[in-house]
Amino acid sequence: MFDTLGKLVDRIGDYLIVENPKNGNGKGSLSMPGWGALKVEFHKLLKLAQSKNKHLIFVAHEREERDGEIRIVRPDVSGSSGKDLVKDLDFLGYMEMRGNKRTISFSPCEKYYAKNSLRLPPVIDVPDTAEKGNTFIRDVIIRATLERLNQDAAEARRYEELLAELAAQIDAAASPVELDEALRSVQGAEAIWDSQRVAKHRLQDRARALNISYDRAAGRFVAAAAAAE
Amino acid sequence: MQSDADDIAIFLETLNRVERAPSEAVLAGRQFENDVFTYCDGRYEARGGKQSLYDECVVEAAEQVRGGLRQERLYREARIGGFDVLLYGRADVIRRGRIYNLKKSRSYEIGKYTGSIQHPLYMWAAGIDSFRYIVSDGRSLWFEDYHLDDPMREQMVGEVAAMLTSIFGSPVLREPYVAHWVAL
Repeated sequence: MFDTLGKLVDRIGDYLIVENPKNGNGKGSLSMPGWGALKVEFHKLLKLAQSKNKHLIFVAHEREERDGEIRIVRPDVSGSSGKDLVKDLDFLGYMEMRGNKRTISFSPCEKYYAKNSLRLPPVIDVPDTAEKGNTFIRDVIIRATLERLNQDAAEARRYEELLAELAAQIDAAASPVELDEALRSVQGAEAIWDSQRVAKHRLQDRARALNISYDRAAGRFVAAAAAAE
Repeated sequence: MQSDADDIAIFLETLNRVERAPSEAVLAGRQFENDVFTYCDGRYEARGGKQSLYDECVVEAAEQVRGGLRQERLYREARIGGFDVLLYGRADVIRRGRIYNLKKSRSYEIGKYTGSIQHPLYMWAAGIDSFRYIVSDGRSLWFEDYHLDDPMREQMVGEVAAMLTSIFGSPVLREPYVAHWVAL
């Protein structure tokens, strides 16, 4: 866990300047090449954690900005590095007090951007660690992450199997009647992600290759010669 | 900088289906999108030299969307605010369980598109609950990810309802809307 992300970025910056003075601008800050080196160094850190099967948590203070009447908060990180770093994070949550409750939200809103790739509830109460033990991140975030990864992997397998099955029928179709049957199979099949769209595109390509067109009025495929009559 | 009056004028032109010459920003966006797709097809010629950072953005964006369906039409019929509407959009790319939108922007800040109606509307219309903006300023590339949840959907529906109420509450807007956008 890094507390705070802003300090981490500053420390990496200091290290990069010591390592190569060209990374500095002579005033203690990073030069343009230095910011590029910082991005590389941060990626190295993420990869290192990944290779050791570790989860990384970055805590950041907020920096307030205004867009007209709207108050927007963003992670307080030096220069433009914050937006480069946020890109690599799986989750981004905003923690605040609501009444006397500490909460975290992974749902983006007008006030802040957040990432909710787990589809967690919009606002989650953070328990008192003194009473409940310091297991919130593990119980709510990491466990849900692992479950989600397993679900996604299973979904990806079902998706590939479904597309392979539909593709086999589409590719074997050689007549308008068989294309009609393939279309019915596509329409009747389970929809996983973009499977319906992918299969319909394949069906269109197959029909085009066979010089067969789809008669919308009749709701069936017809040979090009018949369609022209 | 565009004023409110400019925005209203553009909105009125859209309601009247007036063809506008694409702005510089629109052309730059199309160029970026075209370059990304060209790279996906193996036909991109790197610009090199001072443009090598742009090349890197193109390559990184292409790696995200390669193999996806391009320019997919999305639509959903819905009853919103007492109106029967057809929500319609065109996704730059759909790949597996995610919609991708390629953006070229002069500048970028985290959460730039949070208030946009595009991602909730596209996700709802497509029945796909994940959306990624791929944003480039020509030197760097960023992602902004969204997932459709109930509050986001409700807010989008509320905004569409408010827009329709505004249009029908204003004769200036209602007339071109009824003339050009209402199906009889």
